[in-house]
Amino acid sequence: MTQDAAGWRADPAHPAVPCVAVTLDGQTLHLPEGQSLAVALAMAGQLELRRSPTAGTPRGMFCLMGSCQECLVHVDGNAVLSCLEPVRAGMSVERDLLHRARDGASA
Amino acid sequence: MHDTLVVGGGVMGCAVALHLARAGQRVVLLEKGGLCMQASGVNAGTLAIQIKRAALIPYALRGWEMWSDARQWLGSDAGFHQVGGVTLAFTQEEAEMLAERMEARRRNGAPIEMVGSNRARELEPGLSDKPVLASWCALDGYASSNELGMLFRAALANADVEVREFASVDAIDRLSGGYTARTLAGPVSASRVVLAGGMWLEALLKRDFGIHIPLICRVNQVSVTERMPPIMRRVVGVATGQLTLKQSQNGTVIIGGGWQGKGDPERGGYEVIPENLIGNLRLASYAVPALRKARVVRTWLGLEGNTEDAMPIVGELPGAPNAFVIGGVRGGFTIGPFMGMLLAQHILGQQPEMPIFDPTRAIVPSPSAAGKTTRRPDSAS
Amino acid sequence: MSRYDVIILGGGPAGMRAAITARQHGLDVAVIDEGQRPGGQIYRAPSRDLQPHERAGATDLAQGERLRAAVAESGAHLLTRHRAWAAAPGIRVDCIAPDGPISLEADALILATGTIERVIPMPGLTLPGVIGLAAATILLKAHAVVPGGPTVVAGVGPLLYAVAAGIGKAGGRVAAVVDLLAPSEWAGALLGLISRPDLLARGAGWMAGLRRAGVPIHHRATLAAIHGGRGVEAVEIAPVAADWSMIPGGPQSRIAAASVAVGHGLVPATEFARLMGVAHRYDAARGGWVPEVSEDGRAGENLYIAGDCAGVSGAAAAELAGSLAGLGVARDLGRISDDTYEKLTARLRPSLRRAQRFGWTISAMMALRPGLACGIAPKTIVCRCEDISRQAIDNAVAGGVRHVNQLKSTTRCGMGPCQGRSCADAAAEIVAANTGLSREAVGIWTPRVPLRPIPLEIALGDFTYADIPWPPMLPA
Ligand SMILES: Cc1cc2nc3c(=O)[nH]c(=O)nc-3n(C[C@H](O)[C@H](O)[C@H](O)COP(=O)(O)OP(=O)(O)OC[C@H]3O[C@@H](n4cnc5c(N)ncnc54)[C@H](O)[C@@H]3O)c2cc1C
Ligand SMILES: Cc1cc2nc3c(=O)[nH]c(=O)nc-3n(C[C@H](O)[C@H](O)[C@H](O)COP(=O)(O)OP(=O)(O)OC[C@H]3O[C@@H](n4cnc5c(N)ncnc54)[C@H](O)[C@@H]3O)c2cc1C
Ligand code: FES
Repeated sequence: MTQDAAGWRADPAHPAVPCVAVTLDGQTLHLPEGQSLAVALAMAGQLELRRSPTAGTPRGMFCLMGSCQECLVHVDGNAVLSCLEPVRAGMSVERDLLHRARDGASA
Repeated sequence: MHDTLVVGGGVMGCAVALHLARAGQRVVLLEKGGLCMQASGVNAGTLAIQIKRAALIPYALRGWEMWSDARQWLGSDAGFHQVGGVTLAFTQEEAEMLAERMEARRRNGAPIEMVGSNRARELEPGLSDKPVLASWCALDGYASSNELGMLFRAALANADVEVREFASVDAIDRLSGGYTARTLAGPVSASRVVLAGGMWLEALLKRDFGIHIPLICRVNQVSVTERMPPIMRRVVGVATGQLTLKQSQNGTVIIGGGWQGKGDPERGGYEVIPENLIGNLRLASYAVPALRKARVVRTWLGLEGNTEDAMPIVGELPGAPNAFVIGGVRGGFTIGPFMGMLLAQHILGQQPEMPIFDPTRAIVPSPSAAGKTTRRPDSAS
Repeated sequence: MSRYDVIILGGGPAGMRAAITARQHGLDVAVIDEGQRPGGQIYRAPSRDLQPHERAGATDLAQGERLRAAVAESGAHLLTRHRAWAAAPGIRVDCIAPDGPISLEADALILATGTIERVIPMPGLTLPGVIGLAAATILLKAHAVVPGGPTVVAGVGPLLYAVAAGIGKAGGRVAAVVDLLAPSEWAGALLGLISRPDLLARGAGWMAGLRRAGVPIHHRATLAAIHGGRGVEAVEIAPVAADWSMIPGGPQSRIAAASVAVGHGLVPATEFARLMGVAHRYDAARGGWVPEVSEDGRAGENLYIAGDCAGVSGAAAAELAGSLAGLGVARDLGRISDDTYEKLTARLRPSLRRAQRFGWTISAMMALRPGLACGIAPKTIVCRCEDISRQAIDNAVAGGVRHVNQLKSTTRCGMGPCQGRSCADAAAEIVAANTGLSREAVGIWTPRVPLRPIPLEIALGDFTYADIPWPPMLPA
């Protein structure tokens, strides 16, 4: 990957943070501990956090301050705003439960 | 000059106007805000026969029928869904009350059946294991109140009703052979007037007719969650009547039951009481535990004006020929369309399909208007 | 229920300064903020420690640390990670704290809730990889992360250049800056900005850096569209007229991008003030709807409003307004005499006016112009929560809608979990344009509690049936 196409990444001037294991929809990922979950997922290449309720278009973090609600995910079963949620070791993150339940229901 | 002037564009006023116009009258409707932006547009939309008062069951059944048939007279199904409903008792005491109340409603024609807690959970798998007894009514359902203003606007326009929104009636004067409403945009006259002002009826009657009908101002609270995967499929209520709960087609769950906030006719509903919000939500999650995973996104308050006995007032005002009133009932979304039709039948000189509710019973001699309860409206301005 | 003399809602520069001032006069103070640490937007605390060489150049950071240290020493109760969802006269504020719901009471309340960002939609705005311009400052400051490059930075106001320069400094790549304003409009504003030569110099530095890096700057231009399937691939840049409407048939250029930061100005966060019944007026040059307050920020009985939530005026003005509000409460609660109040505030007011002149010049430049929302295409999503398009709003207005509350109930626009924060301005602009009514006349959505969505798992706590506070039963 060229520099231009580089993903979301830490400012190189910042000290590296230890990564911890979390699961994203059942898959294990290693994310920087204490980092905003939404930002950490973006750094791991996971910008898409949910789909819109009716049209089903992909959505990701937008305001990073708890206002827009676009970054909603479920952590250990509870709805949280991933932009305000720090990464913790062992957290289980699930995306888009709304559509997955619907897809399941129609399957 | 119009045949009838309707003051107030909630479900009651709109329904009267629509039926009068369809019968050929020239009707004008004046609404202070937008159509159905007060009680009629913010209510929980529950059409549950089980929670209607026993004496009103025949009316509620006809109201329900009209909602189920809304496409016919309103031009849209108004989000009507018949999903069936369960009403729950969590204690022995509540079980006795439930059995007694449902029996009274059953006697008046409501198709209600008592069911054990296991059967209740079969009917509504979202229920917790807490209920000890339940009742079931296959008719129960809901409609979307928030769409009502838009639907009536279109239907009234089709019926050639002249609708003026954002037109507050500042006074009503009696003229020879009719009434004139004063508004900022000028006077509007008609041979008859129908007062359908919801909670504001009390003030309208006092100001323009010197009649005192005290209304209890109920400041009802409704909450809604964000969209959720399906967690329930019926309308769920409780024996005391203090919960209505259902998941709408879009996945949001609507939680009502008449818990109270702060409000008054001048300011509207202005303050949700956090304890009452939490109480209402706790009760809801006690019945349907999956709600604990929900986020509530909005709670609102609406004003419902109830007569002392919470029964309707529908009919002509004593001492004010050709002035009519409609309102006062608790839970009037369900029966509103039917009440509007009854009043229209009465005004048109037909025999109403069911007896109407003479407002005289609700009039009290008011201290400020002592001896003026039969005052003629032409001396009232 | 915990009780204080005064509750300060918001721990940005306004709230922190109000707290410090109120403490100086012996008041028992609680500061509520949803952030991990106080700071607010401009002084947002980094989520991790920074290296010494970086601290040296970071002006905002140093001032933020000073304020944070001062408020910590002041003895105010700092209730961070507390998200307020209701407030009522009386005074009572309800919050969701990390371990459950909490209610606070006080004799007075200072609202210092800051702003939120306005973003007027264009096709593709909802794609992952598109973030707000203000969000980009948070990304850079608090998270020390750069967006995936190349990034297009678009919109209006100084944040454009702050973000573009910040991305460059942190090792990212900016593909283009797309500025709604013409260079002449920036030059025209100089007079109002001259009172802060330090900030002017900083702005000039950002511009020079961008020029050196060869970043193209498009003036009087907007993003006509953002393209991509599941993420950003390219943007379409189009010229605009002075009212920010796209020039029909104007030359459009398409450039590749992997992320976009876009913002069209800041809007005062007035929901708490409106909930408390404070009257508001529409003033585009101050960011939109602003509360009616006295010069000292007094909005009513024991209620003050300070900082950007009373009208966008910038961080320096926010601090001064916070001090004034702190003094106002100290006087109202009998801690200082009217004379002392007059003496202390007389010194602050001229500085506040000077700071406001600067802030208001900037917010006036960012004032929303009618062409931007008018030009939203029929299929573009306006309400992102509920997928409501421009067309649906047009249809509703054609069907008789004249007020935004009617729009909300008939279309669900603004009814989703963001509670209308994201689309309020765009929706109101469209209703106003289509009906010919003013923004005042089409109104603002009635605020509804909870002002932030509340997760029931936390709000309800553990309870038994007996813990439900039943209201009296009605006759059957
Ligand atoms: C929050 C809430 C939840 C409810 N839930 C349910 C439920 O689930 N099921 C159910 O069956 N019922 C429910 N109800 C009851 C039901 O909504 C009401 O009984 C019914 O809507 C009353 O209709 P209305 O037309 O009489 O009053 P409203 O809808 O209040 O209409 C009266 C209208 O008159 C207008 N008006 C007043 N004064 C003037 C004036 N001077 N000039 C011009 N216009 C004027 C007002 O602006 C208003 O629009 C609920 C009520 C509330 C408030
Ligand atoms: C995202 C963003 C980034 C910005 N970045 C810059 C910048 O880099 N440079 C610049 O000059 N200006 C920036 N601004 C403008 C800047 O906000 C102001 O000039 C200044 O910070 C205003 O200070 P304040 O104290 O009025 O409000 P703020 O600093 O916005 O502080 C308000 C505080 O209230 C808290 N709050 C709000 N609602 C609640 C609630 N319901 N519960 C709990 N807490 C709540 C917020 O968390 C916040 O900490 C930014 C604005 C935004 C929205
Ligand atoms: S990104 Fe907007 S709430 Fe998280």
